[in-house]
Amino acid sequence: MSVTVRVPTTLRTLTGGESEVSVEGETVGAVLTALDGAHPGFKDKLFDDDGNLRRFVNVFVADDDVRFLDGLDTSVPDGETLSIIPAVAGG
Amino acid sequence: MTRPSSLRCRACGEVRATASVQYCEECFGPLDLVPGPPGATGDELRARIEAGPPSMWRYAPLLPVPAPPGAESVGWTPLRPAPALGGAVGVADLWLKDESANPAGSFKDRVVAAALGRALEDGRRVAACASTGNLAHAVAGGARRAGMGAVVLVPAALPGDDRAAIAAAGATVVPVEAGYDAVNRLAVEASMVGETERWAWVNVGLRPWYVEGSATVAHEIAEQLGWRVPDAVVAPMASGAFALALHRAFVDLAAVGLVPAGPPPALWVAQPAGCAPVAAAFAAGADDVAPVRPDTAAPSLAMGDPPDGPEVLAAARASTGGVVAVPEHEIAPAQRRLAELEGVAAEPAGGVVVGATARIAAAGRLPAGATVVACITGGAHDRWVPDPGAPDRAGQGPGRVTGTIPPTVSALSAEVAGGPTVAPEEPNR
Repeated sequence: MSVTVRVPTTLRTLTGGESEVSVEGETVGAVLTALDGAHPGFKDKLFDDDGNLRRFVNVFVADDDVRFLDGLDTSVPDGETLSIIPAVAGG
Repeated sequence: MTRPSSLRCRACGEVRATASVQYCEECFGPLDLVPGPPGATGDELRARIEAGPPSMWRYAPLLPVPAPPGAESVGWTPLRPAPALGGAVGVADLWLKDESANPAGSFKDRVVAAALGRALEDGRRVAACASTGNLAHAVAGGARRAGMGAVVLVPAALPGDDRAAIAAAGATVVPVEAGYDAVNRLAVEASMVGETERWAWVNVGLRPWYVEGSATVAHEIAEQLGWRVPDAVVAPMASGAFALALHRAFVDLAAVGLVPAGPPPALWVAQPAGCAPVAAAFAAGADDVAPVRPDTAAPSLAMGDPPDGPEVLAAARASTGGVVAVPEHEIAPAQRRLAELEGVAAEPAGGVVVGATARIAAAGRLPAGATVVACITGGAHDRWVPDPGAPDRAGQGPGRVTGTIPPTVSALSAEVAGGPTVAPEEPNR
C-alpha cells in the first residue's frame, strides 16, 4: 500500500529536498503519521496543538479536498497521490 | 517612495521583512502586509494626493508598491450618485462605485497593477494566474502594458471564444484538463517550483501586495465624498480579499488623518445564495467558515472555500455590518434593475450587491439618511464577437492558446518552455 505524497517547497527541508516521497498508509491520517515517521517534523508543521490539520493546510487525495470527504479518516487507495498545499490562492 | 511595510503571518503572528516568501514557513498561514507610517499625514498627505494623477497611483504615498509601467489608466473610477436605484431599494443617499470603468472592466485591474509593481521590483518578467474571467483579462492587459509576458491557466472546458479573448490581450492561454479548483491548485504548485516559480503569480505568491490594490477603492470613495467615509459600504465577496481590504483601508484612512477620526463604515458583504459559506457562518453566529461547493449564477463569486472568510466575518461584526446571502433568483432582476435605473451594465456580482443592498435596507439595518456606497466590481462581459479563427492565428501578437495539458507542473513547464511568454518584443505603448 504505497502512496505518493507531494511536498510543498518549505517542507522539503524535511525530505532532503525531494518534492515527492512514497509512504505507506490506508487513510490520510495514517499516511501523514507514516510521513512524520520517515521524515520527522511534518506533524509539527501540519497539525495544531489539538491534533487537527492547521487552518491553512489543505490536503488533497487525488483531486479531492479531504474536508469534503472524511478528513483524516479519508481512505487513500494504493498508488494514489496525496498533496499538501498551502491555502494561499484566490482573490 | 513607496510606503514602508512588513509581512506578518495571519495565523501565528510571526513578522518578517518583506521578501519573496509565499506563506508562513512555520504554520502555512497567509502573510498580510502591515503598512508602516506614510511619509506625511493629515493636510500635507491630502495635498500630495490631490496633486497626484487621476488614477489609483494618486494614493502612492499610502501604497507599499511602486506603479508598474502602463498603469496610469487604472482606477479613479466614478462614484456615481444613484438616486433612482436608491429610491427603489429604500436608501435615500445611495452611491455606486463603478469599477467597470477600469481598462479591463473590473477592480482586478487595480490588484494586478499592484502585484505587477511589486513583481517588477522583484525582477519578475512573466505575470501569471489561474482565472476564467476578470482576473485573466486584467493580467493579460496589465502585463502587456507593463512590457511583461503573461500566462493564464484556464479550465479546458472554457469556450474557445473566451480563450481567444484572453489571448487577444497578449497572454499565453493554457487550457488545463481539470476543473477550476484543480487549476487554481496547479497555480499554487507551479508558484513553488522550477521555472514557473519565477513567474509573478499575482494572487498566490504576490497576494499580500495584490490585495493592496483594492485598498485604493476605499481611498477613492473617501476622497470622492469630500474626505469622509460613508456610513456603510456593500461589497461582493469571493475570496473576501476585496471586502477585507476596503475595511482595513477605511480604518487606515482615519489613522493617517485623511478623514475625521471615527469608526469605519459598516461593512456589508454580499454573497450569492449558491455560494454563501460566510453568510451562513454569520447567520449561525459561528467564527469558522465551513466550505461549500459553489452552484451560482454569479461566476466571479464562486469560491466555496474563501481564504479570508473568518477575517471578513470579524470585520463585518466589528463594524456593525453583516454578511448577506442573496437568493439566486434575485440576482438577474437586480442586475437588470441596476441597468434600467442607473444605466450601469454590471456583471452578475453587481446584481448580488444590489440585491443585498435592497435586503439590508428592507430589514431596517441602515439608519435614516445613511450614506451608502455599493461597490459594482465588474462590468457586463458579453462584449466579444465570436471569432473562431483567432486562437489559431500565430504570429500576430504574443498571445496564443496552447495545447491542453494535464494538471501537472511538469506539463505546464513543457508546454510553455522557451515559448513567447517570457519576452514580448516591445511594450505596447
